[in-house]
Amino acid sequence: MNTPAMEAIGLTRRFGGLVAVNDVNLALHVGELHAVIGPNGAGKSTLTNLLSGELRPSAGRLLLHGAEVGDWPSWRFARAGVGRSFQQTNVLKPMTVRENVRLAAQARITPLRRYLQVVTGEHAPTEAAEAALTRVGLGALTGRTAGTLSHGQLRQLEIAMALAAGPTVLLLDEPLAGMGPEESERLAGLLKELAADHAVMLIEHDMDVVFAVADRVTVMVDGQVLEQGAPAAIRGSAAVRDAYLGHAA
Amino acid sequence: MSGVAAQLLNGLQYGLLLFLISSGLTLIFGVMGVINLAHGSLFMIGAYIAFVVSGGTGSLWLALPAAVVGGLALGAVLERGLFRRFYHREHLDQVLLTFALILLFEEGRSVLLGNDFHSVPVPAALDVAVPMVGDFSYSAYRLAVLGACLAIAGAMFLAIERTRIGSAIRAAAEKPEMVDLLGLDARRIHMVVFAVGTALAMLAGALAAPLHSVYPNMGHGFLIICFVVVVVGGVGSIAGAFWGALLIGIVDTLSKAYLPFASGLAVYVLMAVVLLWRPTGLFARS
Amino acid sequence: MLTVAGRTGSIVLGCAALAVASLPLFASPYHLELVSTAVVFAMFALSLQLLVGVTGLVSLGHAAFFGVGAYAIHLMGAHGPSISVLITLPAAVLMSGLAALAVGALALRTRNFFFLMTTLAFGQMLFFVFHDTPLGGGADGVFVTRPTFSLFGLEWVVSRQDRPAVMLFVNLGVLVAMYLGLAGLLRTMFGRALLGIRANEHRMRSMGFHTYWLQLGAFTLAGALAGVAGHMWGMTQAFVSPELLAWHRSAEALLMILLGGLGALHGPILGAFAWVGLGEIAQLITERQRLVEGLVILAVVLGLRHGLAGIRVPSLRRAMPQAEPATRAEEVSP
Repeated sequence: MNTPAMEAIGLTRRFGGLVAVNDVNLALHVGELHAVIGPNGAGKSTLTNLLSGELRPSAGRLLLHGAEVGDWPSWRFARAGVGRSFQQTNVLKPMTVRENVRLAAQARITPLRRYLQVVTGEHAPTEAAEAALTRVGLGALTGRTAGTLSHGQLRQLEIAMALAAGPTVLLLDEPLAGMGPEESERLAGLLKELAADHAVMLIEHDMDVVFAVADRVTVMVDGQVLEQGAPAAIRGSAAVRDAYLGHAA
Repeated sequence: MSGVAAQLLNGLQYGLLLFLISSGLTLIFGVMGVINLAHGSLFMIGAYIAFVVSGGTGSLWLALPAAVVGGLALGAVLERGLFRRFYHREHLDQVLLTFALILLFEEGRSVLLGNDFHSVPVPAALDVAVPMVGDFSYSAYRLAVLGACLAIAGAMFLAIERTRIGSAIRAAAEKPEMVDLLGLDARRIHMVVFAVGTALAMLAGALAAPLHSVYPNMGHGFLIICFVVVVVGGVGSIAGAFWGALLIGIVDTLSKAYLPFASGLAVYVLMAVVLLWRPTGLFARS
Repeated sequence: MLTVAGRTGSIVLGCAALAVASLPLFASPYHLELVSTAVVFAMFALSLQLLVGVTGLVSLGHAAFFGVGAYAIHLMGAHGPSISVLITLPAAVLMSGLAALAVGALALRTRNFFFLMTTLAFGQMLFFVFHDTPLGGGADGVFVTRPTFSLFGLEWVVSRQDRPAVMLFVNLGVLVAMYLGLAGLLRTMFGRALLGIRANEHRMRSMGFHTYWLQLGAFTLAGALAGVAGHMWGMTQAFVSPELLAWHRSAEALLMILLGGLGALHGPILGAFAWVGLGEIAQLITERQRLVEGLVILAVVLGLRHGLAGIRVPSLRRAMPQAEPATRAEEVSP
């Protein structure tokens, strides 16, 4: 297979004596939706934070399009095309939905002089922001203050913010949590669609969604990779059933 | 030679005094997340207590317990009456609350005691020079302050390492959410920390009164130097405040003695270097 | 979030500016100078609003840049023949801007309370520079020759009698320009990014913004604008002293912001006028001015949470959600 968009090799993160992520190998390819599942505390969110530069790895390597990026700060990841959503909703609450997404789109604009360009409060949305909002189904709520959105709508906003910057790698930490079944199904469809031209990593608890959309599944338990493979193989694995699916049932 | 030794001792003694003030500042900040600009005014109040008590009774010895008891009481009242409402408010509100307190404390001092400079006599028993090495001798009062501050610092370290409430305070300063986990009454800890911090600042003021004399707004300079101590020493840690205070005390004293053209500036240059090199402070646990 | 006055608000502000401009028709020179002082303080507080209300940085060292701007007149050598304001003003902007750049570059390596302490300490350092070194010309301050209104040898000579009115017009003009400039800045990408940092710095960084440089830009610009205010102070008073850099002036500017309202760009202007007016009234009632000031601050901090700009006639209120206090960026949980 060609070079992965993002690759973790022996990635490890310790907090004091606790090893939250232990020797994880993972490759994300454009055109593939890679689901990461595991019980609470398995290290999934820590992994997302490592892959997006929020945390530095204690050991191991992290490659973005083949280049070492383990010591990059988070803003460089975002500029290099790594978009992410947060498990705990993390938006600019006092600002409008449109402004949130527009800033996300603006973040990758580099020429400094463009920073003095006027973007009037409500009348000059960038196309990228508008397109992202329509795509996640928030087109009708662009003028609302982000702090007033429902939990599910905030998840949609998170995805729109990640999309607006035009990333190649998308790290989505439980993007469907708290959504109604209809929205959830629609967004699962969107994720599948996005996987065509992005490298998508999806952390998700709903197994039906995972097995419906994932091209590849990694099962994490206690910070380690328990099993990695195609959805069908994971579903059939006795070890996974014991360690994880058993818990859920 | 003996000049340098005297300046070093002066610096050490000044640094230890700074430790008494900044340890309260850093603990109150570390545990409650409050910045108290009026901490310097508490120091000023302590100095004026020394002036009033030693003027009235002729003895500084009575002023020291008066400053401690008064500090514990004032601290508890301030914590209960005002500060408790501000732990979760924005920094700006805390800054202005404590700025208002400075104005009120200074105005109260002006109403009660006027705006004059006053000197406070060194207790007669300590108003001597103690012969040190060779022909070098040093003020007995300064030595006594040095010893008292060291004893207090030692007692604080012991209290924090050995007692239950001490370890809770340390835990709270490092990780505020720990207090609930330890099952301790956070409100009680807050009041103890605030009262002790206030008492330490006022005791420092009383000890400093014979050395620095007492005057309006005397707390401002000490407050700002203590901010430098906290920035240089590191976040919310008693050890950081201790070593930071000694370093700043010695650097400030020596620079004023030997680099008169840079008089007040040396400590700020030191702070700038620390911020460039280790922005979290020299003695902070990373 | 910080808002700029809408149409109604702009009309009200414009009328207030016109009212101030018409004061020379009937007010005494003393009152004209008092209002000039309030206008200069309004500039100073407005420059600090760029940090506090827009970017979410609470600085306690802002007066240092105000003082550097005022001392620029002295440093340009304005003792013999006076120099054109077209030279002293840019010099003030340059000096205070550079000072802010240096202080900001270091102070922005810290956050929250440490930022506050660091800015206070560096402000105090600049205070000492002008207080103790030959640069400042004395601890008690120094008289400066007023910069003149001259261009290419042509000079507009202002008589002593006209001066209070002329200085009021000039100061008012500078304040209006500064307000409009900042209102414009808030419509640019730079301005929106600064507001985003106030709302959630951590998220802005993870979206790809290099927040340090943006904050440093805001800090430098705010310092330069404070320098403009300081320069206008020096030009109005023809006297500068180290006390202009003292930290209690920084605290006063923060108070003007809180008094006027943290949520509106024009809040500090209202706050500055209120503060100067309060001082004047307190002086009439009592010699214990600080007592009154301290009690008023307590009352404001304990009571008036949204400042004067938060007091509105309900019908004029735009259908807009209430401004929320800045949320602290949440720590990344493992």
